[in-house]
Amino acid sequence: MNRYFLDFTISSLLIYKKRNLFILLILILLIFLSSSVLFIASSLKKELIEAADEVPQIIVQKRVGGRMQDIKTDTILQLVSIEGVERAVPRIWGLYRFDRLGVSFSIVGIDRFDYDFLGELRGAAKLLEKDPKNGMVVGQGVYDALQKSYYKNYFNFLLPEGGVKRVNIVGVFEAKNRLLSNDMILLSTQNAREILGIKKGYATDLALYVPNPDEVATIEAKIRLLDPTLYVITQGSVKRGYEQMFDLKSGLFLLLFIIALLTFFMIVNDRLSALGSQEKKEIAILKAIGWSVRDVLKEKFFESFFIASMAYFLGVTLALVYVFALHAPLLANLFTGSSAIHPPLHLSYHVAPSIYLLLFLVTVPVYLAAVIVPAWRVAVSDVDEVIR
Amino acid sequence: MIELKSVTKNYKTPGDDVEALKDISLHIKEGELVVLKGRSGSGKSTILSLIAALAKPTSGEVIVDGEHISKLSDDFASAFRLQNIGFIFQRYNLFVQMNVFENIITPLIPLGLAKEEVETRVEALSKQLSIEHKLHQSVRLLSGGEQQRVAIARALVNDPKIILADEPTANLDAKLSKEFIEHLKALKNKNRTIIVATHDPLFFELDFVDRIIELDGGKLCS
Repeated sequence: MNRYFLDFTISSLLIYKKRNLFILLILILLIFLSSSVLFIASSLKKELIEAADEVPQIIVQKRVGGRMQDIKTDTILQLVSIEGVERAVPRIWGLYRFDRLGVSFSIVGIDRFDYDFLGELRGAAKLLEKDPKNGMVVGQGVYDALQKSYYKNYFNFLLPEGGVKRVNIVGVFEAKNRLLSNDMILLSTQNAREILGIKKGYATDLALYVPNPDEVATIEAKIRLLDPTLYVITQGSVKRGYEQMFDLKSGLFLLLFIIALLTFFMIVNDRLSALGSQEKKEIAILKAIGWSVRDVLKEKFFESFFIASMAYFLGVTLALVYVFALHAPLLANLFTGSSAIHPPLHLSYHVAPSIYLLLFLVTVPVYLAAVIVPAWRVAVSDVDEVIR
Repeated sequence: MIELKSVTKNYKTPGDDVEALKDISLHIKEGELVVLKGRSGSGKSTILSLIAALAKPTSGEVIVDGEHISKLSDDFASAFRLQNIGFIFQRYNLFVQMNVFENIITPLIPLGLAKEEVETRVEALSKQLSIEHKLHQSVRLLSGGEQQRVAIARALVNDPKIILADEPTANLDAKLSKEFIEHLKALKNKNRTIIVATHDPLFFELDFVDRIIELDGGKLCS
């Protein structure tokens, strides 16, 4: 493209600057929304799947009539007798609602001998050694939430039996996977039992470790036969659940935005199909002074490419800032559905290059077509009438 | 040089087909200045469009310099216009938001000429038409006469052999019309083939006009 062609394209863009600016702003908004949805879904999905890697291969819960109940820890004896199960560990955990801030924390009880099975949380759990009796280690999200209240270095938990239990913050941790760690409070199993009201000899669930992942399905079937009230969750089903949930949510949102984008392109196309007499005349003048259809379309291509690519660049950049710097206020809650439960979520950057490509393909070429096709229709017709 | 052989041109309208030209045959020699005379709708502008390969005849042939331009594809028709035709429109048809320089060079843009070549051509033409001091002014700020000169400069910048002018004085006052005729005379003296479609009586009395062809209802009268 020669310099004069570029100058002409810029001048031509400026001729209809109000219209072009309006189109640019709408495109930026639509690309920003679509990108934000995809970025949030991609980030949450990646984090949840990574979090699922930390989940034991099999979790066994007690459910009676669909209601989850605490499980007897001596069920472990039956479970470890199943061939392929290396070890079973009782887990004490549960949600604790802090109404004043409108958030809920995940309380997880751990004991010294559990450390080897904590994976990414091992480093955090070691902080608890400072004061296992009266201390707790909290996720960054919990710490930030507590700083907004009068609890700076400790927290008074309300107990189910009445009274309060003061527990001091002995450490703050931020695991690689923030989704896993953000709302978590680690304390001793004794304290966790007390706060959650779980009796001795009972646990929230049982975690089973199976060295050979191929045996998980068989073990799952054997547990179901052992006791119909035992409910089995496998690591695979957790991952599949997360994937399906986010694929469905992001798919629905994306579908809505694609409909919005297509509607917008149809409006642009309609608007340009009925090209104003001035625009038709301009094409006719260009043809009359020697421009070919190809030259006219080339000029229209650069005009619309400039708008579409600028909208794409700005829309995607704004979405990156909104999602990964500002942590997607409002929109992230639609995905997690848990704004009132968990402390604010901090999204980490996990965006596959294919998402950028997808966003580019559903916006830029479609917009180009919406602009170029009507111009082509005018350019290939007899233009002599227009210029009289 | 320019030959129309039994040319008919119909336009489709929503309700009907309009026959703009009816079996027209015409021959125009190189260097000739021909005035096409007639009322609105008589077919004058249609002849210009056919010679410029902007429209194709419904039947018949249009031949320019031995080339059947009515059969040219769009790319070749555009190349033909770039090399041979300079068009001066009734209402100048300038890009009013652009400046004088940008308007004049518009026909050169597809050629991708070097900056020096473009500037040399514009400089020569703008001096010739006394608009060299207006090159970077917006066209909308120019007077009617200056806009007319910009339109002439744009028509001449690709050094065409044929100049087509469609009602060139329709929007000009008497002084500017005379000014335009002076420019036309200068072009005639440079042996350009010029076809002017007009119903302005001013053109019918000019001594340097070679022929006046009258059209009525799409047919030649004389």
